[in-house]
Amino acid sequence: MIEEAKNLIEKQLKKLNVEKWELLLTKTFTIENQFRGFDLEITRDYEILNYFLRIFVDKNDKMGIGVVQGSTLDEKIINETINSAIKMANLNSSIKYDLISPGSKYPTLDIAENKIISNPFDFIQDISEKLTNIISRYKGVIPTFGKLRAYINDKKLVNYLGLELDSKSTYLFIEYALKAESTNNLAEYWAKSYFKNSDQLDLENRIPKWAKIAKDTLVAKRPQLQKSATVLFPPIVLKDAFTNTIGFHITGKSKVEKISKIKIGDQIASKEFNLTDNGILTGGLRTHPWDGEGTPQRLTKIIENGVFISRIYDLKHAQILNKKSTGNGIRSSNGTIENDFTNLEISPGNTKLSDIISQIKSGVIVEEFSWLNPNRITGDFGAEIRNGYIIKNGEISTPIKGGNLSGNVFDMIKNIEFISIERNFEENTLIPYIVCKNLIISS
Amino acid sequence: MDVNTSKENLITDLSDLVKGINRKEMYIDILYTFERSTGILKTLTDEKLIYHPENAGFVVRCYKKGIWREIATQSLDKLRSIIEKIVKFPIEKGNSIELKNFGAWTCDKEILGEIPLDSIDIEYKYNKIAEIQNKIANMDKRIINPIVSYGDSIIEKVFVNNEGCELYQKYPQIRIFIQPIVKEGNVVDFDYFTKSGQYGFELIENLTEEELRGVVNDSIELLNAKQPPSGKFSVILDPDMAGLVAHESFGHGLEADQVIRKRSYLEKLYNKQVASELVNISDSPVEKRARGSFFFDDDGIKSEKSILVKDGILINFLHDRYTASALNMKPRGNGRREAYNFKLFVRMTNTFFEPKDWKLDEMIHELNNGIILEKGFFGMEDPLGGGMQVTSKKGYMIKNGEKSQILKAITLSGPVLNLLKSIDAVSKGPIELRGGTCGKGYEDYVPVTSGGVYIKVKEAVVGPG
Repeated sequence: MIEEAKNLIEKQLKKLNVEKWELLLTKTFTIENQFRGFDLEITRDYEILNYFLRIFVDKNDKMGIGVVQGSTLDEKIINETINSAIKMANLNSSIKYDLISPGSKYPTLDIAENKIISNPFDFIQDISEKLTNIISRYKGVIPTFGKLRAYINDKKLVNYLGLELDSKSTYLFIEYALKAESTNNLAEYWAKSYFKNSDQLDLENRIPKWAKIAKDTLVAKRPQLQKSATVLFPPIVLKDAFTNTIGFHITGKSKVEKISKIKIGDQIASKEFNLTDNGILTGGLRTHPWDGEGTPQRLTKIIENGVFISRIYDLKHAQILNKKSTGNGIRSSNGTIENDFTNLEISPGNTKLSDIISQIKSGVIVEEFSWLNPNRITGDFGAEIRNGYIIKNGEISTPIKGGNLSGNVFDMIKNIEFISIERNFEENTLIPYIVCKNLIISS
Repeated sequence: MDVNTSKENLITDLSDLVKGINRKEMYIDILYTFERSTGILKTLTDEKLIYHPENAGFVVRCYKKGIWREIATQSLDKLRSIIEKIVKFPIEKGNSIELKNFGAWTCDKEILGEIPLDSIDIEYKYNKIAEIQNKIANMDKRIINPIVSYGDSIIEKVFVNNEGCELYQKYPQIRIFIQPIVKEGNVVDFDYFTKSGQYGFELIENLTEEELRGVVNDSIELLNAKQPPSGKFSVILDPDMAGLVAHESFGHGLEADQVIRKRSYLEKLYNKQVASELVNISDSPVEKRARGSFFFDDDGIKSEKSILVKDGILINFLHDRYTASALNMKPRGNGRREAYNFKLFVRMTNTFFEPKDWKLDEMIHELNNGIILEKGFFGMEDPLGGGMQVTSKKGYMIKNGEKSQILKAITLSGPVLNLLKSIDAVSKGPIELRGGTCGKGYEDYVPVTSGGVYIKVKEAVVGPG
């Protein structure tokens, strides 16, 4: 189907004498089960073909870009679509840069699971049964709803220079809410995450943790007001703290747009903090041989010993800043290219999580916020604690819920007390547990 | 409509596919959605023009013994074979909930706007957005990045089922978002302005100099904002923030799928006092030209206003076909999908506090030491626990009955029912609705508005946001 679409669109591009173009074709098959309690609520599937065409028009040292998305293979509509892209490319202008030519060396990566591709229906049924079986073992909690979804993605990227790249990948999504109930109280742990592969699901270990947090939250207390709290953040929470803030400020785009808060060479974090953008990380959700523009993905050191040493670039922002693309032209859902990170990887520390906890005299661990959504520009945040615990004299004690934890992400990374040896994959991040001080809890 | 046929022929063809399937044996429906959209983004150094001439597809859905099976496709030609497959899907373990027959009806409605979106080309739209950005950029030297984002779409939907529904609707959606990022010394901040609705391009043509100047001045004022205090304060919420509370913290718990899942703290509070007697909250998909409005929902149910809270008493939940059947209540058009390939869920539409009789000045005058929270920024639901997290972009201290120091983002937290019961003043109308996008949890985004009027709360927990 992809090949047929490619040939058809290329034919029309030739017919319309379009010189400079790039075409991304995607075919996504999705299968999902959703549950109401333990019961199946719906099974759904769909296969969708989309193409994203970018047409470039040179204007001396500038270049106009028109982006269109299509899905039908009707020749008349393809022609209209191409003409719209030409018109848009004639309207706007930005810096001129070269697209990727054939001949780059691409990493060989394992990004698709055969057991999903060969029989997605059976795969989803098997995991569904396993999930419900494991949950049913835990007394005192019941699921209120759940989603389990598998994606199979085929991609083809071609351009006028003769580049032709293909890939097939798979990934998974799970969302589940486990409820605990007493006479006067309700509590839940609401889990949701994308996973690169089925090994990462680790349901035998993951579900007991969900169940424990849900049950503990039933007896949770509101935390007390603290003006300088020490907080242990697990990887799942740090993902939300870092991706929208640090993940943006390390881009070439943020510098060009005059929004970046950080400068190369500055000490922006505690000395133990090391961050890489790792586009070839085994198990990373955004691991892929090439980025949205066809540049090979790679590993780029960003922060070393707390010092900001390098930015990440797509083709456009690399050109503006006289650098080379680092494989960070990420294709957005509407077909445009965003200068964004691939997988953020933070190096492990040298202390075990259990030893870290034992060294905290007074603090809290936040297992989940309602929504940790820091201000992208400033890094400020404030979020309600959904599930957490007090840490007292080196031990995890009373569960907490409620209250508002606030701070600033850029200040947080300067105030790191501990980084754990243990790390977890959380979508397109691989992050340890981190303890930060000087945060505010309102209650 | 881009299926090479007229809407009349499409409705007839789709109806023919489902009408032979015995309703007593199963329920089946087909939804076709078509969307043509344009996006323009202009920032300091970036320009993006995006055109999607057609995002179109069908979803066929069948219900038997408590379980749904659905398949989405982009191809009209595949519908017959999908229906043959879907009606045979095996039920190993279902439930006894019978889907009620909500009856046949027809609909053929269209909204165009004064300047229909497809009557002007992208060049004109682009130039207009560039002109707006240029105006803003030149308003103050402290603007380091004038961001203007524009989006429009024309949406068409056809719905048929084996109860005899034959429905068609077409409406535009348009939205502009302006965010001047400003800097002075090392301080960087921004405010934003957004306008949206089911209008044509007149929404952009009618933007005023005052509106543009206003968002620039508001951004610059934030350069002097201080961190808000933490703790319990008397607060006033502007319509935007009040709407966020009504929608995020309260409304999600009224979505009856959460009730059926036993995941709503409001389940046991039906017909009980949940708010102060001054409080009336509604959800209405029939608000004229509002972003969350439509003539029928993706379940084929006719849109109607739902009064959710009347004089502080919870009197309604929000429903789709399934939840209305299971709870023996009336659906009023709250079954919505993000797109044809997304699942249908019970969703809000335009959700707001109804007006009462206070003036804003009087409400401010009443406070000796309080905070007014302005410009809703974001919020998150907690349908099971009734917790609240809603964050404003800014606020002001109120000292001795007067607005004083401007404050940075403020988060409201604590149980939402405590806040609703603590409301002691509600302002006059007219209601103000702010357009946004709502997720069910972390996905399935649909256009909505929320708002209403100013509300005053005796005591609420605030902290930096």
